[in-house]
Amino acid sequence: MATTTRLASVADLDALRKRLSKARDPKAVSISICAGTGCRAHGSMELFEEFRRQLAELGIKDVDVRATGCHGFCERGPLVVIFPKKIFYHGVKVKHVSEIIEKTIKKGEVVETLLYKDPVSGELDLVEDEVPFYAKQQRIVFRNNGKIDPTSIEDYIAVGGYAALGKALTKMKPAEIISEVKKAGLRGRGGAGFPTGVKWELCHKQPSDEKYIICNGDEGDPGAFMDRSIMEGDPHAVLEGMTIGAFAIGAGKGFIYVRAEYPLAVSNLACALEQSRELGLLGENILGSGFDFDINIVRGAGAFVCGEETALMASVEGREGRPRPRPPFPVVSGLWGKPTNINNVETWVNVPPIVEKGSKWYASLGTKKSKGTKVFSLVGKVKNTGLIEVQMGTTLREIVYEIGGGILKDKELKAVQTGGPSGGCIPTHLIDVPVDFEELAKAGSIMGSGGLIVMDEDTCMVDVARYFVEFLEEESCGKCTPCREGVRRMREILTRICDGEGRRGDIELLEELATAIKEASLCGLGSTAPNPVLTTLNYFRDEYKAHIYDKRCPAKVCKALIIYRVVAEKCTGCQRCVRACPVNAISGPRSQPHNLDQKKCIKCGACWEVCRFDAIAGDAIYVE
Amino acid sequence: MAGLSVLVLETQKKHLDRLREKLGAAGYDVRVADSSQSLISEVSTDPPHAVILDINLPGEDGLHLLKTVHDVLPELPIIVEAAEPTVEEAVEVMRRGAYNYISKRSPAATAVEVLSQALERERMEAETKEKARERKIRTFDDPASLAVIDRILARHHYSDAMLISYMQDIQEELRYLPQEALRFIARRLNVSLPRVYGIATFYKSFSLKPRGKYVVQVCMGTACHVRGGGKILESFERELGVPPGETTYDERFSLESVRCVGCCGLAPVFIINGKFYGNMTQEQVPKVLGKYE
Repeated sequence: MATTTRLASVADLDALRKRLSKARDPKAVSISICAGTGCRAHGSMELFEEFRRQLAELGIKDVDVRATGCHGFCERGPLVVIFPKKIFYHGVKVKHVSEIIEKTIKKGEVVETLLYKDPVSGELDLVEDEVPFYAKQQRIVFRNNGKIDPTSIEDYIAVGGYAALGKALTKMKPAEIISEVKKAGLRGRGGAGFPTGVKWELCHKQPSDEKYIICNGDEGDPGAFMDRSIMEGDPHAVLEGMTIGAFAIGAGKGFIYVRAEYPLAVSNLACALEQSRELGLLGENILGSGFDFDINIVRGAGAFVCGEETALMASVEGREGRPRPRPPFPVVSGLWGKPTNINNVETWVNVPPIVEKGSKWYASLGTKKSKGTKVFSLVGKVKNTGLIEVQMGTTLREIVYEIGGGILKDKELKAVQTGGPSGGCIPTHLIDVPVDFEELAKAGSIMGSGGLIVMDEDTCMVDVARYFVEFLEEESCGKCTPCREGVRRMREILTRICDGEGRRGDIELLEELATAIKEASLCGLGSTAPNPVLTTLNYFRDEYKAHIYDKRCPAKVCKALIIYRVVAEKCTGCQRCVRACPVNAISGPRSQPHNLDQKKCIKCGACWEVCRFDAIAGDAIYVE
Repeated sequence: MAGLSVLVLETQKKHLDRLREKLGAAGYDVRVADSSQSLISEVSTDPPHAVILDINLPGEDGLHLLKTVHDVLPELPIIVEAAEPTVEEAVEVMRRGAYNYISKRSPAATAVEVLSQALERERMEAETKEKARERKIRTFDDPASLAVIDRILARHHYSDAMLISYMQDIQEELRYLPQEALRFIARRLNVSLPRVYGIATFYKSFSLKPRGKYVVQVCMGTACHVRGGGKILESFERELGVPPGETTYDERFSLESVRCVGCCGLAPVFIINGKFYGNMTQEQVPKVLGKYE
């Protein structure tokens, strides 16, 4: 590599960028393959190897094959985009490689069978931006995901990376940067939405010889994976944002705390750190500015509560991650008692564009109080699952129906769960609520880190509440009583309701407990723990009542309240369920309606999953 | 049975031929010793996997020969055949280390069956021993193994702020955190054992029990939950016969439930030793497991 020499100034960086972009012909044909975790599970790395192998065999040398970060459309993986035309192929398999090379690479033709077919209009979409999933999005945080190779700093610099850092270090004073971030209206993307600029200012003003900054990549909310994709797909953007922040605040050392479950994020970040140090974008005297700053990666070890800032700091210090009361806030006394500024991954990645394009531009996006964009993971019972980035203020309806393509199997939407275990369920009649911090709070939920879990008529809301409470019971660190004991009692009550043993007065008891836990818990985990229960009670009280008084699970989820039976009129006797049943509860000769032995049935639903004729029905039963 | 050899000493030509034919048909490599001397010399120079011995040797003490062979190779399965079996002889034969005592009058198939049982037992015993040997290494009672841990601690200059990181690295090497390792870490870093133990039990990714060769992690994130992740987990429980957090008896599989692996687009998801399986159904669980048997 010609770029291993340290960059001594911003001029050096600009010269390097010029050289790199010159070497990259924008009209050259290149293949970009999504190597996010989702597409990898679909086999995208095998695809990457196959493209390389076949191109080498054919002696084609001028086509670049790139494994990029997550493109977002996980549902349709593996995704392949052919530049410069940006032809978008989905569901590509190894067997398609030769056809793509033959037609698209050599002749510039399109392989129509791999194009995205608009389910509404039936038309084929040629390029990524035409696909409805992408068309409605606005990508600031995801500006580079899918375009660059995350393990190449040259790629990042060529698309304009580190320009904001250059500008911040040479043309701006720390106070100016803070004021820009404040004016931009950037708010913490970890969930609480605290104004980032204000936090920086508080930390900046603390008199101390040593300050720290932390990037919170402990993305613990189940159902949220945007931070994972950013760290995996554009690690340099995280480093650049942090370095600008450290300069503004006056910190000399930074930490990135990454979840244990994200090994690829750790390795891509580690690779990025090394490259940045080599080029002098981290370390001593960055770009000749006299500013020293370096970053360490800390791997989490599996504790949800470590997403809470005081617990996270305890973990960085090598202790058990238990929260402590605030104040003092971390900006006053954080890591090892020094002023510390913690921001979420997505927050940090928003910083370089703000510095580069200015606060005015950023503040023009979004709603009155929530500026910019937000990345959401759109998952659950929706057709197009994946990661999306939309302007603040986009409605849930637009997200679920236009980007998400509607509900799986065209069933009825029941609710959208936002904000992870601390959030709540937003029912169908509030689907037109625009997503911003205040509006979601009004609906009884929170923005949280950005998981949107779509639930349909087959989702039992009592079961969902039980799921979250069980999760929180497991993750409670046990330090304060309201959370430790209160959440456990809530789980016991919810479990008994799901088991068909709910009692008169359980709903009231849940509400009473919820209030007490909310008011008396030490940290955010406890004080928001009752939210899933409260919102489901608020919007879906009938379902609770059906479980308690009628002993019926309307969504046919709660095992104790359903039976599986064969609908003889529909059963063709194909024997698929006979093979699928793990306890041999189903019998019957071929071509005749099967018999399901209720005594043996363990209600696992395996038969229901494989039945092609809707012959197995989970019926609600009435128990005295 | 390919490659398994059995050495036969049999004086009755007719019976020998019968044995030869049956054993050969079952796939064994049949070797014949013509005298007690040649039997002993073959056992000591080129040991077979098993021996079939005629106890009624003309002019010789069969029992004595049995003891001699057993002394040379105590683990070698020896099947003794008798023309006129008696209870007294049976007791004596078994006492001298035979694997089994059968009548020549029983069909030759009996000999083949007994032989295959003997070899199966032999194989299982060897496996158990191998495991015990492995376990001994994994309990980390020898100084060489502690040196491995020490090298990890030295990477960050024995700083106790890196405690969690050390323990992750050590677990990566050993697949779990043995008690001895925790004690050693505490001593070496000069921190209290409760602090080390506290961390090992607070964080979910640490295991104080040995984990299996294949670690199955079933995602129980919200997206997986609403798309039937719970059923996938139950299906694994049934297939492996262990609840989450446990390891199968043969130490092949450990079953774990994890809270969201950040792959929600493919729900429900599980991971086996780092490999992701997305959009799974209960029906596919045994099929995927089959790849790892």
